[in-house]
Amino acid sequence: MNPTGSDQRLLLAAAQAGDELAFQRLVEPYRHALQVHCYRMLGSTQDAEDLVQETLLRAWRALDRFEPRAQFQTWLYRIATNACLDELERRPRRPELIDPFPDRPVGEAEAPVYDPAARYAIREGMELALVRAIQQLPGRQRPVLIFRDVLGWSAPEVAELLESTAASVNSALQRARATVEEHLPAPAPAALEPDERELLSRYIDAFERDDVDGLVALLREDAVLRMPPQPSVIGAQAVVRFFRETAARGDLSRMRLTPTRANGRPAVVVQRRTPDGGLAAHGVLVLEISGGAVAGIDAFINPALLPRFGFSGEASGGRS
Amino acid sequence: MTVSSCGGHDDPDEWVLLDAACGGDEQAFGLLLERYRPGLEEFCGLMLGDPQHAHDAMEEAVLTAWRERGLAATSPSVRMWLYRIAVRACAEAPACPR
Repeated sequence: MNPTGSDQRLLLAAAQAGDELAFQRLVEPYRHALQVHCYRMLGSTQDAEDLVQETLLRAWRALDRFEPRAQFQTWLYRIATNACLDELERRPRRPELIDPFPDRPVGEAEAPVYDPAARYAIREGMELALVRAIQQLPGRQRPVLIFRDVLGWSAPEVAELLESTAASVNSALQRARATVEEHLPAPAPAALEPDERELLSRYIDAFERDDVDGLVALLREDAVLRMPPQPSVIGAQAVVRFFRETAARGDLSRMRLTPTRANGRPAVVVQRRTPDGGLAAHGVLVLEISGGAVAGIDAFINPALLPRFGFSGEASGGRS
Repeated sequence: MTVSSCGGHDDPDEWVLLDAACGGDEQAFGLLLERYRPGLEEFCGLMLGDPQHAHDAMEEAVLTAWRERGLAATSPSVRMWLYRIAVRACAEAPACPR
């Protein structure tokens, strides 16, 4: 991925000399990764697309200042991160939707605070919610949490670094984790609003009965199905068609939906009925309701999310 | 990841560079620093949560490392020495709570 190959070096040299086409070819391999990075920063596919453009524009303008020995990818990521931070500062606060979190923790209390995907995101750029949560920690706990949970150092290493003991590092880590968990976005409001519950149950019912028209009627005409990094599906008809033909392979009732809440919004846990009558974990859909209809759906198709919501994460389960 | 695998007394290459840096070789110092720069920058970014503050702390850490390069050999490894300096730089940054 780094422009160490001679092709990339040539492209870089040409781009730095002002060849726009060479620049396009140079950045093409990074476009997708940048899109994912911007989405993680902004929580919106549309904004992410805009910010990739902005990033590339900034990169093009600053290209003559790029030091060829540096990592091109790191350089692009830095520009993208700054562009996203500028964007976040400019726009009014919106609730972030990075990954669905159940509103009420389900399962054992010992569940890890961060999943590996979130850790990975931090390595790539930064997961805003966690970065913000880290800022709540007192000076001493902060490096402990970063070294242990984000950078993956061992307790003895961190103890050595901070000229402390492993025991005291671990106790600082426990306190730090508790604080961070408190500040991570897992909004508390518990039960669904009555009208939300009503809409959600009609939504689930439409799936159960494979009722295409019924489902379309519950969606706003301009409803959007977001499932980054894939492109969004726009319009009630198109969204329902996608659900039925692509996701459910021709029969909506093949999906089994269970109501829940995630990130302060109504949501459904999705399982797939298997031919042997079992259920397989599929993912989570988080709904955005506006004016009594579903205006947006954030799809997280990842069986590994289901245990968070108290379901088996098995991709193919036995008889239910 | 263990201490011994992360560059220490047993990484002759690093200590050659460090020796040269102690003798005033800025280029050797630069090569040494480049190995750890991405990790150090990530650390400062997470500590301070603000790109500008992180950048300032990083600059400060680099200056300190250059100034105190003669003390590096008292640390278990070059990596440990550099991270200690980064921890200190962030702790002294205006953005960090005491």
